[in-house]
Amino acid sequence: MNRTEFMQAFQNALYDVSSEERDAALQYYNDYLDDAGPEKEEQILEEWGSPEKLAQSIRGGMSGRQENGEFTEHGFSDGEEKFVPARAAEQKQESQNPPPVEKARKKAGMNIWKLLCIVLLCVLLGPVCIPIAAAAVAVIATIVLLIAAVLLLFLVIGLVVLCSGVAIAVGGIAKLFVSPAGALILFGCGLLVTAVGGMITWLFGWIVMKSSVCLFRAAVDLCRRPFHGKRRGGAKQ
Amino acid sequence: MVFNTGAALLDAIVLAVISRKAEGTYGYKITQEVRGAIEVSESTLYPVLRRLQKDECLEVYDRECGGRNRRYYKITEKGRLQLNLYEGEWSLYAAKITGIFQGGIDT
Repeated sequence: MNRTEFMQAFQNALYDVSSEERDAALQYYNDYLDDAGPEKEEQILEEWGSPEKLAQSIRGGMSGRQENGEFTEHGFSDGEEKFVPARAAEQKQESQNPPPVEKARKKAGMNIWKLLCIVLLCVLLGPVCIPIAAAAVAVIATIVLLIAAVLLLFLVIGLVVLCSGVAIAVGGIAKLFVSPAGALILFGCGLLVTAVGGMITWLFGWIVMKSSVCLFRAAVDLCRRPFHGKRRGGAKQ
Repeated sequence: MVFNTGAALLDAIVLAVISRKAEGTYGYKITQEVRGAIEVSESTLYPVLRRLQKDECLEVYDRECGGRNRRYYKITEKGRLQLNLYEGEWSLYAAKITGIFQGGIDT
């Protein structure tokens, strides 16, 4: 391989580095051959090895690694960190690179095992778990409905008291000309009952509103969980 | 050579060679001079020079020479500081190693 061929192949081998980096490398190695003179050309080309190997040394140099055998990054590994902060930082970066990959691989492996265990557990415990889960769901539903019924009952009671309070007050006003004292007492009692009814209605109305919102959210959450894969989805059927 | 040359020492040698030329020097010449001290191949120094240039320890410029442009490397102020650091550390290191070889020091 002569010089022209070598440099062409070298340029091709640097297809994946930036044009700035490539031009700088080509300039350097062209200069190098020019300065060495034609008589040394063959010997230097031989020492460079293949164009691909030379290109590799440039990529290695860019990422802070040295591919050549003459010197090693860890030749002075103990002293180096103290000597040169810039190089130490680079080394750290390099040594930080492998662990995340390893971690990711470990995590993936664990997930597969986890999944396998869950599937196995579902198959083995399915006949037992599904009836138990169904019973549990039924019991929970019953309790929730019971509480809802009681709350609604109180709400209705509140409304009834409110209405009767209003009725008593109106009745009191109607009796005003027949017996003013009795009418006033009746009117007062009516207002009192109205207030009590209003309070009960407001309280239970508030409780029903809040708890139904909470219940709705919990139900939505429960339905979404299996798809977002945070908790076990199988046993919740 | 029996001993490995660490990247830091290689940086130091290259910086020292370049610092001796006020107007800068070029790749082939740098390689030949470094070869006076340690064994390096014809292709070892380019990545080192490129890195030192990126670290702003060296600057490059092109100069007309025999009908073509030749790229020159020149040490910067930052490079000079780095070289001073290396030289200081080297004399300490060399003195300690020599001391151990001669069996005379207790540290």
